[in-house]
Amino acid sequence: MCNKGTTVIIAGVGGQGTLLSSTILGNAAVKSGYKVRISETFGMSQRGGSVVTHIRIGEDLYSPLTPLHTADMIIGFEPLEAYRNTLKFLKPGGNVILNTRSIYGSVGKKAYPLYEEMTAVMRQFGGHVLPVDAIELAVRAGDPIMMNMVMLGAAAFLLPFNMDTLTGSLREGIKRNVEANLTAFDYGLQSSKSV
Amino acid sequence: MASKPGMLLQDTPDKKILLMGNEAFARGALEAGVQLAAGYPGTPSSEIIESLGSVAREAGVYTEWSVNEKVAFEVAYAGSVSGVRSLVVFKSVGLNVAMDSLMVANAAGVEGGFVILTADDPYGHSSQNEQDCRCFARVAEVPLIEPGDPQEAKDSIRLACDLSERTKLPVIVRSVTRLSHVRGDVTLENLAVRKKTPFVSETEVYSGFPCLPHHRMLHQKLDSLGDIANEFPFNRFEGKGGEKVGIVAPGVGYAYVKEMARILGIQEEIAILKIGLANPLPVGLIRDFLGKYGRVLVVEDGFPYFEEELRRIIYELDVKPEILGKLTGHFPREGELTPELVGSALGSIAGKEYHTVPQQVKDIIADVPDAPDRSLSLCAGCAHMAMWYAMKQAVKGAKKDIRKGAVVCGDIGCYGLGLFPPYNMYNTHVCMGASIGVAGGMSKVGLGKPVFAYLGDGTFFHTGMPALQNAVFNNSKMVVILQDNLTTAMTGHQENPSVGRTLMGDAATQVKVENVALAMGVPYVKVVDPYNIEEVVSVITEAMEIDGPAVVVGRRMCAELAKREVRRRGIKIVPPSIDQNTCTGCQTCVSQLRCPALIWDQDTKKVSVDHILCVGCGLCRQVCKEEAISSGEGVADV
Repeated sequence: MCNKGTTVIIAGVGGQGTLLSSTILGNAAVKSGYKVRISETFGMSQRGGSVVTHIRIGEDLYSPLTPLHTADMIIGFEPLEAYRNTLKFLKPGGNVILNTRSIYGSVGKKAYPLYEEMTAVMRQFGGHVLPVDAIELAVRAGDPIMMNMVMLGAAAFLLPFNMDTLTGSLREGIKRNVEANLTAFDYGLQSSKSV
Repeated sequence: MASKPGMLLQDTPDKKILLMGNEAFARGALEAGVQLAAGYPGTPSSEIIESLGSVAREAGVYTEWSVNEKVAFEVAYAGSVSGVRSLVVFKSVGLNVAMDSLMVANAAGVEGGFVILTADDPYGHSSQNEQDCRCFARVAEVPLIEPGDPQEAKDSIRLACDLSERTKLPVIVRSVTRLSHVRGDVTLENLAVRKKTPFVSETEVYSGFPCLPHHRMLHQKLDSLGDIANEFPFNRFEGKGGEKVGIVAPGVGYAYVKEMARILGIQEEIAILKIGLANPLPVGLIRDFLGKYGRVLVVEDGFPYFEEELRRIIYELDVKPEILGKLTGHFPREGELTPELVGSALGSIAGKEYHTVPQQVKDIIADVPDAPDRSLSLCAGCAHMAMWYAMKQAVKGAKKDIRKGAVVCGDIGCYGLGLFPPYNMYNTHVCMGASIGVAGGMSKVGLGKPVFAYLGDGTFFHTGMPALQNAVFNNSKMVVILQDNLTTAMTGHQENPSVGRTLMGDAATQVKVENVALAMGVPYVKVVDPYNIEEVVSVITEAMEIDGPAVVVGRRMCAELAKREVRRRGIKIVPPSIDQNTCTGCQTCVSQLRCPALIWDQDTKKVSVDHILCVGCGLCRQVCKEEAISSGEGVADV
């Protein structure tokens, strides 16, 4: 009954590059012969709000939105956003890859849940929980803005594509600094080797 | 955000690529041989015209942003009357603006395929209502096609053009948010090569007059579609005939039904009728289907359109099935479809309980901290927060809440955020251009308070202009705050008459809104810089004394555009610093401006500046009574 394929949710805040990342995954999926549905909520993305994309990859899928608690993986570009979507979409046994740097924004430090409490809940689901200092790695690759590519690299070992297809669609999707972005991707990939 | 332009122009039939629904519509227009396209931006439709615009020159498709949906409709109608395939695109509420023209174009008829692509927004993610264009198709008595996924989105444009040319009727294509903004795999067909030479008949007149023969002809055209409706390519019957229940699922509803039936494991227990044409109805197909099942559930986004139509059709049947849906409480009457709503409804009729949250997850998340929401805010450096602050300073007794001292009529744009705390700016907030119209009435009812209308340049050109002319005509005493940020910002910085450039990149006359106001006869027109709060306060104070309409134009480039301009020119943004000894923690800056770059520290009870978000506009320095904030550099210099 279960689909071959996977459901990934990329969660961040406006300006973090979630849309580009989801398009890269979507293109890799189409090239790998899968059916794809990507749903984006980005109406208010420039205004500091949460941005979420649902990437559904498989052979027999239709719904633009992910049914609650059916996501195989959350890629969180920000800890609170990773947590928010874990509470809503992660399935038992599902994995979380999260960037460890918080953006407090309108939430404020006081109301922002403790990092350790959030990751403890993620671990309860029983899958991998992989924290990545993606900003640090992106800076090392040349620019903190490439955090999203670090995160894709860190998540790659759980994705149903071969690495050449994924890096190929990364090359096609990036407009500038392709090599630096590939380096960022690779730093992410290396950081997942510890799992 | 539209993808790379080259992607839309590849002439590789049968290739499968990833397209957003809106890009798929644009690709469909290129495959269908559309030669003229016009639109007005509005979420969730904007990327369709943006995508076409990005390839317009290369593809030889004239594409424009018009000043409003009615004008866009008329521009596209001209293309059709001239024999070329034409497309007009807008969001749900845009159809209201264009309706006046549609209600004649339907009977006057078309020549080249004429497609009206309307993107509805069930749930109102980015809209002021949840209207459903299928109801409008019934009123206008024109065909309406309802695609359900990106593949059908692409294919719908060619089908709509064919249908339009066959019947000589305008054809509406309905999108919804979950189609326009979904990416999926789409198999391409050839790009159209045939270009038609435009020609306007030298004998025919396209008009609704005389009324009766034209109306009769409209009915004949629509009636001729009976068989086409039953055989329309997007219709699909999936079942054997003996299932427990029948599901009628048009558009995106079909996708949710297929997915949730699989998850519930009830694929064998339901039969599905997907209907691709909402007007005219495929009555024969529906009648056959209704005859097979005792219970029929309708799964549709928007109004209970098919549900009501089905109830009408069962009237003619000897054995009447139960029709279930929004009118029977199986779905809520407001909001959009979700997997959970569809799962629950399917489960309830198939006798299977749908657990939205598995027990195992319930146990994990039972007693954990909440994930607090991120509230929306204007962008750092936004001129609206400056203007709102200045208005509250200028109006007596309104420093905390402007509505204590004035009546403010709002409009549609980024400044819609003024509806929410801490701003609480508006008494009314209706639709595009309504600020000045409503303010006109407010000025006449005798409220004894100053009256404001608040709108932006795009909205002014859209429908604000006639209302301002009305205010001049009737000498309505009001202050119109006209914020000119030199773009249509809310929907992603599209061109408008304030920009000086068209969608296709041609130079255009840059229209100054103050010149328009003066030409209309407005007795008081002043242009201010919103970044100079003192000046703005004094001008608004003066404007409130005018015995008639006064227009205060606040001109500042949208801060997001200015930020790009700053980068382009290599100007370094220097955020101001806040002296932590001088800051008294009064919170005037954070609570009145609510700039996302100002951070309130709960522990120290002081404010500091977020160096990543700050654009160096200098507004916080101006509102600080303690002079704790230094001057910065950045967007104020472009």
